[in-house]
Amino acid sequence: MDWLNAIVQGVLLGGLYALFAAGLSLIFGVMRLVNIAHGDFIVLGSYLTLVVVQTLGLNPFVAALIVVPLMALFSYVLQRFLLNPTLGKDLLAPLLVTFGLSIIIQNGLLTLFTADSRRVMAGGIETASVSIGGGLNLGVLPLAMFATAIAVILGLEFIFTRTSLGRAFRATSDDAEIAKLMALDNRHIYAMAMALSAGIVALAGIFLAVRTNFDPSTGPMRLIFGFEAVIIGGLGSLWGTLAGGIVLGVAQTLGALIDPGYQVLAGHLVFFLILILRPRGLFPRMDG
Amino acid sequence: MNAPLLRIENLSSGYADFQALFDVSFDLHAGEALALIGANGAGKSTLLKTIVGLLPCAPQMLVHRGDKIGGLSADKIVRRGIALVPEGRRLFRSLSVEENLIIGGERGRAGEWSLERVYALFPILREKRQQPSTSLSGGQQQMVAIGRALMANPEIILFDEISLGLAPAIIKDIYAALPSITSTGVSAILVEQDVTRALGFAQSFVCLQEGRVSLAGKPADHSRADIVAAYFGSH
Repeated sequence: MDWLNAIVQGVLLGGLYALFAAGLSLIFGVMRLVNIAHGDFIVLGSYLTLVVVQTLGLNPFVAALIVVPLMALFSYVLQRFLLNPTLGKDLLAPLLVTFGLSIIIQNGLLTLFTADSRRVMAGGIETASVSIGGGLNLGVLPLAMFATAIAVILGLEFIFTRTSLGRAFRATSDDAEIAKLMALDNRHIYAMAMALSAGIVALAGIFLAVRTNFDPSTGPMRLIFGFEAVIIGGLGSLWGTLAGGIVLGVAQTLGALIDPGYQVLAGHLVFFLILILRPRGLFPRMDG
Repeated sequence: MNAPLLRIENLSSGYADFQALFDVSFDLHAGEALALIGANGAGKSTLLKTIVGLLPCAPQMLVHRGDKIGGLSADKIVRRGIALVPEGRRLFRSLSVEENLIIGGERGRAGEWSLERVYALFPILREKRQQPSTSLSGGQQQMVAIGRALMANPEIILFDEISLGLAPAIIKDIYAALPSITSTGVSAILVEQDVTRALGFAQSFVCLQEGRVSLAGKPADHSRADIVAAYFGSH
């Protein structure tokens, strides 16, 4: 029973990891940019949620209506004026700049909020659960995370395959030079991709803030979980990202069942195992 | 003679540490088809890329309808009605045939070109419209590349090596479609390895040699020997 419970909890946790990973994957897919600050963006989203909840007294999920657009706007500007000029044939320049951003965000948060752990309360949702029989209880919050992850992936799939913006993303990713000849402004397209990614990041940040304690140094580990989910799932595949998140989540909850100290380690071990057995991930590149 | 549609004036251009074009000047008039010929490395593709804004040049080097457009970004040039059919076709591989055409048109100028008209020009594309662009033969991909440029409703269309790597029968089909494009008043600059074919299609020509104009005029006004000399160099 414990095992079954751990697996179910792991699957739901995978939803959160898929949220960490989806934005990362989107950015890499469209502009081959590896955002080292991605985890810190998530934590920034968590702090922004904290501020909005404390100052306006909103429920954190209502606060999403403010946090998501703010993060998207911030990231659009960041991409347009800081990251775009670093893009080119060399992957190293954007890597270094986002690494610097990661340090700036962590230290900025440290200065503003101190190193104390924070948590955002959501009026009981965080501890509520529903029974699905057989002695299994599902947390409302994990269910909401998982449902959000599926909604986000469906939404991304719709944008990529059905909309003009999605065509522009794919075309720019295929051949950025020719995309310019379609009257596409790459700088705007890249900034839109970063804004979309940041919207997803903001959702991840809200869930992170409600689910667990966070402090300014929490980001890099979220980045690693996101990376692992992307690589396990296979680069460039949206549903693979969800699968990768689930594999990672289940590995962690099963590891924690053996010994709570093994939770993170078990995830890393499964990640390495998959790198050895299927270096291109479970679902290697489909489009989108 | 009327003011030219596009004036190229003392244009110099090239890549970071390599100058490929030196003081190139010629005019393109409304409705005119101009063949740009020259040996490999003469600078033909570089000139087309500079015109569409993929390579930088000074503002006064390109004058379109009286406006200095040199150095404008590629997306602004397309919106002014100058489109390129690039060498090697370069379709978007993750887009279907129809998506390649749609993306060519959705940010371009308004005008009479539509999916329907492209399919009327190249009927085979209608059958293949849902397929990935990479699943098409070379000739069909070339048709998509031409259709994609037309969807932006250009008044000047630049063709870069549209027959490269294609079977002779296919090349004939593609050239058979060109008059129905230029007959609508669209001007064209055609870069082509096959000089005879290019001069047969165009009303005027410019020959480049090592980045400079070596000969220009109307095909009928110059002997074959002159053109060969301008093409290969006579020294």
